[in-house]
Amino acid sequence: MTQNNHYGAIVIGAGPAGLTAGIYLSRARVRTLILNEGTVGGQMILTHEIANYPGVESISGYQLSNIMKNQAKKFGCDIRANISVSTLHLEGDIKEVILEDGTVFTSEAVILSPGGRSRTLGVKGEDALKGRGISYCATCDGDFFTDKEIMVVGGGNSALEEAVSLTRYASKVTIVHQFDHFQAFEYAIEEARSNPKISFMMESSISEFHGTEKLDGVEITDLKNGTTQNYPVEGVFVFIGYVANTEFLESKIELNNWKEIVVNGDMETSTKGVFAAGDSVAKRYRQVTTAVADGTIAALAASKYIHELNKTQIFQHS
Amino acid sequence: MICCGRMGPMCIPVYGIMEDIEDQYTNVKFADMEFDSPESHVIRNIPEVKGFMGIPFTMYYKNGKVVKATSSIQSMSQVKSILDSEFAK
Repeated sequence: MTQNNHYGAIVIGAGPAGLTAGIYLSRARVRTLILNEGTVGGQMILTHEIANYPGVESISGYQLSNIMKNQAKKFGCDIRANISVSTLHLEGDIKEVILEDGTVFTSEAVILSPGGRSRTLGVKGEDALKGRGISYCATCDGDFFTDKEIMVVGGGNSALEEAVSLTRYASKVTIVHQFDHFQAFEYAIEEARSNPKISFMMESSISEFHGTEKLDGVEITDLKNGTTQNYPVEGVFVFIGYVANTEFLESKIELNNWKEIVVNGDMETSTKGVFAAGDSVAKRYRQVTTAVADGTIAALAASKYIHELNKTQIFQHS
Repeated sequence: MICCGRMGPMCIPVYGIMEDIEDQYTNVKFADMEFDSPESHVIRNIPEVKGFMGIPFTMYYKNGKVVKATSSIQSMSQVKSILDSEFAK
């Protein structure tokens, strides 16, 4: 363990929770490393406009994440993006985080803020046809489907709101949903129902995507009786929620039935010295503001933990 | 390597990857282009992007020819595997 690779705290995930934790930790003079698998900013960068962050009338998600990143760096955080975590050792007084390239980092405390990612259907053809007719971003790709007939998969707010916004381009939008009712807010359901371009296929699910160079059809399963039917379609937008990025934590800390991290009021996980923050934590409401709050609490609790740990060790050695 | 996109959630990650690796791949020139600008027609209308319906369009040129083109978001490992196989030093 070289001096360079040892930190007071390692934060895994550089979304708003992780970046806030980094800001608070480094201001508390805890040497902090923030690791991120993709682009810094987490799910904030999915949003073109954030209008409900208190104190900021309007800002793009990307801009807000950049400001948070620069703040964390200004206070002394090391940030490493586009890396891959391969193994974690979270027990004991010294934690170890090992990257896929073999680099080993150690620390007294770890804050887990790995967030979530868009859920995919996980069916045949989905990977190959991503970007060739299958999309997860209406604002990005909507205009490719001008005057075409498309499908939207999902039943929550995102699916219904995006289906309505896609009627600006598409000639027809069919919403395909696995249940017989929607989970979205009433206003979103009403707006979709009253739009003449939108029709509904309930208790149904896409079981396969077809096409070689581009999407040309789907197989849809009727979930009431298991029968399948093929439909020609050139565009499918998938909005079926988020899944917590916690596969790498299984059997290391306590997760609930939805694979979310279980924490107490101080953001402590089931393992001593390991804290969690943000969307990956078991909670009801997921917003940038709640992630920022979690990151603050986790950082303050972790700073206190590190301080106590060092005091104990000094005491033991004296 | 040219990433032709906008400033959205599928494009920004690819720009971020390019920024992170440009010092490692010194024999490759990295650039981005605004998808909606008239100049981008040289990318938007070529046969190699036929069937692409997701931004960004990421193009890999070698000696003036397109050796690879991808549609929509890419991961670090996807980008690196193309660079390592097409542009090995």
